[in-house]
Amino acid sequence: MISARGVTKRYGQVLAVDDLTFDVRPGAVTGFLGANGAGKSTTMRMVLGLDAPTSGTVTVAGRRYQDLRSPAREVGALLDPRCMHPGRSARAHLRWMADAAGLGRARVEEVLGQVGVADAADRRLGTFSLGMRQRVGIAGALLGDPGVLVLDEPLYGLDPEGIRWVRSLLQGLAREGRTVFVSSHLMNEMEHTAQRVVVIGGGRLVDALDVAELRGRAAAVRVAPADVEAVGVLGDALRREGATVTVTPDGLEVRGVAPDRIGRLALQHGIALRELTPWASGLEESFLALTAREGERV
Amino acid sequence: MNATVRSEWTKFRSVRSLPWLTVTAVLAAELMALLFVVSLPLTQGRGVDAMPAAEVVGAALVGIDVAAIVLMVMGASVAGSEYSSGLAQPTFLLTPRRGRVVAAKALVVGLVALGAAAAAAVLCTLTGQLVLLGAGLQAAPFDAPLARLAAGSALAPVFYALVALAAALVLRSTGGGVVVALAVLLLPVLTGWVPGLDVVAPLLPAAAVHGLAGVSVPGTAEYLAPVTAAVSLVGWIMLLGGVSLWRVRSRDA
Repeated sequence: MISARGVTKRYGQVLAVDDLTFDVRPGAVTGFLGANGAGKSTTMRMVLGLDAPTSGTVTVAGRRYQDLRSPAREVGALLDPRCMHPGRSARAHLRWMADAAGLGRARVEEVLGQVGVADAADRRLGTFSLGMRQRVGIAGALLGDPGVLVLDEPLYGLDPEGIRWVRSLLQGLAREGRTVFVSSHLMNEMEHTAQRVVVIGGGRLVDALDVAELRGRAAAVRVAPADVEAVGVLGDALRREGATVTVTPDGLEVRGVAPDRIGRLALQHGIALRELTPWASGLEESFLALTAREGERV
Repeated sequence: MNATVRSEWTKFRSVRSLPWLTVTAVLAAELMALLFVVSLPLTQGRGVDAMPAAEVVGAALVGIDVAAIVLMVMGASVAGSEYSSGLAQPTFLLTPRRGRVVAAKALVVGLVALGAAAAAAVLCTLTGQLVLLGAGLQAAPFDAPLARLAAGSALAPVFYALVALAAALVLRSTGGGVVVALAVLLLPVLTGWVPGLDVVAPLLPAAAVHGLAGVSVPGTAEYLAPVTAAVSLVGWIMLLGGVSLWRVRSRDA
């Protein structure tokens, strides 16, 4: 469990994070979405006690990160895969981390195997690709077998096989009841990874919701009456049902009412239909719509 | 704390440059000792045979000052390389009590520098003695003043390596750490140039190091009695440690 309450971070004149309140629950992968510069990394750094909030509080497992007794056993983090000394081997990198966390060397070999870097463990990190470094970084996050994982853009730099691997790893960790908080600036990256998303824009919370709900919002139905005159009547009837209706040159675009209900309504009003097409726009579009709305407000 | 020290020691050993710098410091001191002794006829205008044996060994011990400069680079890069590679982030994630990280780094740098400086002191002393014996002269007796000179000279690299570490932590840069440590090393030269500034001479770390080594003469501007010198040196270390602790703790990592 991660809880942010009114977290604000100001750098001089710049308000990087503005009064952010959200919870990240255990047992699910929660995507942390926002455009580049929306404040995701700053928020994650505050979650991890690297940066101090200007105001507000963030707690992990009920405490401030700095107050955790053995942080590596409670929280695993991957912030930037480039944060490694290029002259050190992957094994040596994980060994100093294990030493700092008071963990045994055997655990280093376990995580090296788990992320598939065992064969390259003695190579210098400077020779590693970004994808390989991501794997070493994830190994570092897993070292203490923590209940909470905070990963900043873990899919960045990975090839398709690597992306699939991280996805199933994160979902497996969530199934084990862990809290998994993963940032990304690409909605479609999270669509198949996260069950829940926290969306921010301009440092402020835009929305926190289940991916299924977002998908539902994204789903629309294109409806076109055979008679152009019937467009108005059908539109009013749908609005009375609680639908969001947009008039297009071809007919109507309807959100919030299922296709079968639309068909029955048309039948009740004696309106013949030329088209009734369920049409799911991508999550990417609804995400962009969400952040665009936020942009207008700001 | 134990875990943090072990972690910093693992870091030190697992990057090739740091152990190499340490070995280089010892070898450079030895090389310079040889150079100083062999060039005595040029620099002093008299041969080894015309000088007191203790002075010849003393000249060889000046080689340790070169070790001090190499160990500054070592001390500074222990902190600076973490900021340049971004390693400071995972370090503070694993040890959120940042004071422990600073203390562990200081312990590792201090002990490594002490080991290297002690080895350099032994080698430089031996070099002086071997040159004397090679010239068919009597070796200098290993008496209390010589032991004090050797031990005192070996303290300087430890101190300057710690200065470089503290400065690199504050400035978040290896280069910055080295420049500040060099400036502290050269402070007595700078204050010597400006008339009237020699009143601060006894307050400088160089005066403390010289006082401990017994090379400053009573009655001169920078003279400090050994106890006063020790207090001054401890004071400087506490001041630098305090400033770096405060900066590392209070700033965002």
